[in-house]
Amino acid sequence: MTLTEQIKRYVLDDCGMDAVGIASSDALDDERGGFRPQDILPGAKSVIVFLKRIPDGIIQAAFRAVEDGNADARSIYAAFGRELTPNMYLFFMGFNLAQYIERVHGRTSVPIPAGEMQNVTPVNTPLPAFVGAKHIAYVLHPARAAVAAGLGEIAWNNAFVTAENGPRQGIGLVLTTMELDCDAPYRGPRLCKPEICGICSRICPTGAIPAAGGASDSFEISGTEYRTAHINANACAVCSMAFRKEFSGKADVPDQILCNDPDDETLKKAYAEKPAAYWSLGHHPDYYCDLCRLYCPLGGWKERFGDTHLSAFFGKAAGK
Amino acid sequence: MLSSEVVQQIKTFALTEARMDKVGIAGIERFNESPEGMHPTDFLPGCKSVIVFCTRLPDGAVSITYRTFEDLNYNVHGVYGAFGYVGAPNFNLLFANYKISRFVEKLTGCVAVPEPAGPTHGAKMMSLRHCAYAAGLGEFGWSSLMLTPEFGPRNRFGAVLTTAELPSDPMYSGPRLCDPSRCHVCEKLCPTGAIAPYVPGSERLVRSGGKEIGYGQTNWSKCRIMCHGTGRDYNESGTDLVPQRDWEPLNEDLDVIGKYFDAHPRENFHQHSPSWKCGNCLSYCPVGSWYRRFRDTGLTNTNIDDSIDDGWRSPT
Repeated sequence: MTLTEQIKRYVLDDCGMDAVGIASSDALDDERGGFRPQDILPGAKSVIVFLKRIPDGIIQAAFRAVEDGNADARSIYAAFGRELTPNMYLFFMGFNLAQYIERVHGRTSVPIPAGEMQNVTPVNTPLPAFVGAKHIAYVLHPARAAVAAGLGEIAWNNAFVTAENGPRQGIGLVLTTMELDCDAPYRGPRLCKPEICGICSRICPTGAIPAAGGASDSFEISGTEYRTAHINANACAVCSMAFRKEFSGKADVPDQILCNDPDDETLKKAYAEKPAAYWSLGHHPDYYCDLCRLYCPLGGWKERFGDTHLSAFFGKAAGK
Repeated sequence: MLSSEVVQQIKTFALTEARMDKVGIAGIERFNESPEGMHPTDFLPGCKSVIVFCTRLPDGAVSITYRTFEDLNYNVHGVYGAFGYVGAPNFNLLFANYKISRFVEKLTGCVAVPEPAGPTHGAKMMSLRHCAYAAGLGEFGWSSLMLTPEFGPRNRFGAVLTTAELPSDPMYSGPRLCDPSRCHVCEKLCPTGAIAPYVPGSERLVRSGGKEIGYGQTNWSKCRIMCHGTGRDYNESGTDLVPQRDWEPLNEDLDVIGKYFDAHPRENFHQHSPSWKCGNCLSYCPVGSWYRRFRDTGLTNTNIDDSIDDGWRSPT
């Protein structure tokens, strides 16, 4: 077994991950200054990227809230499908993997936090972590690293998607000076086709995701250009962080933002005044929506959720 | 006294199932000079032994302090907090303490009490550094941090108190790890001068297991200024979180810092009030193969030799 195979086996067997890939640190050289592997770990050779799928049962709990009006089921999704269990699991497994590589193989390794609650939120930032000019709620872009490691692609709605699970997985990262056999960036069949699907744009309650052909961003990984929707993060926050009662389910939050596209000042004020009772353990509760993730048809959605009658939604919002 | 086989089972469990890097045992007699309220029997009447263990900090997590303060890349600063300080290390210890205490109770039938790991868990607890010294895991550095030969100060400790009578491990008897008369790295690199210069006779003395060791009298108020990221050079915002006029001249009344974090409870992981924003005394201590781990690998550009007299080298 080669060294690379040993590392991958550790990730899959000991850390309990569902998929693992390795990107060359060079593949992420086009990231902006401060966010490149070499900026974080001088001498970094490899970025180990691992995925933990979200169980179908957890995803369907969100359908119970969205489709059946069972607001209590939302907490199952929040706890096991969003920031708590998946992020904490990835957090500890990143730590364990870095420890394993350093203890056993003696090569310096840096685990990367999974989620904005893990000490990556800058102080004095009055906007929610994933909103605003700094967009600093990550250290190394997890989705782009996952593409560079050959695990999948980035969809129109900015989510990382795989053929197996669509957008329904978490991503963990460890940088290391260990030279490993790197996987090629994803070159498989195109997974997301917003010009013939468009579910994520149509289903977004606040119109945060433009339709195909609308405002977009582009970035490059290893010479390949990717284009994704330019998300209106302020609009996304209104729903995902439940700044209105209509989005909160059972939680009795006040109607803090009445429009769907607040300016920064409105959002800052509402965020500062958000009642602490609904912060959740992660302090930045952003699990009240996720419709673009829940209903993305990739990853066998029809077979998993439509054919099983776990959701009655299939196809209703699709363009074709 | 329980058999050596039982002791070995406990130690093996700590090193494998609980993923710890070192483990030792201190008999209750090694705490004879503990301050009032901080003796193991204050937490567990009838306590006879303290099982002490540590998890090393990943070099990669420690190296983030160099990226932050040497490269001024504040974007990554939180990685040290997450994986080198209050996050994964403390939570791993929390679960390790719990696991080991349960294992000891099942194995021996005696009572076992896990000690919380860090202020994240709301505890005024026994000094885990002193427990580690009593269990023979290492010795104190002048910085007051507990040093192990393998990792220097770059480890964190957990402890389980038990009524099981277990044989004590020998006290650390290797070469003296810290020589503050010749190495001044922790003192010189402390941004606020919280670690006093070495003066013979000024140290705080600790006696346990027939040994005595001293460490510097750290000014914890000065330490808090930096480890809470109060000053502009030690937090990501590039501003003074608390106006300098409120903490200079420095005094013991640092309530202004507490008030700042009371007003910003969302920040800084689950601990709310950060204590990981500095870490210089930990990151630059030469004990524990610092040169091999950090200088020779190019992870730091700081020349600590300027703070060391006569070419002194740590034995490890």
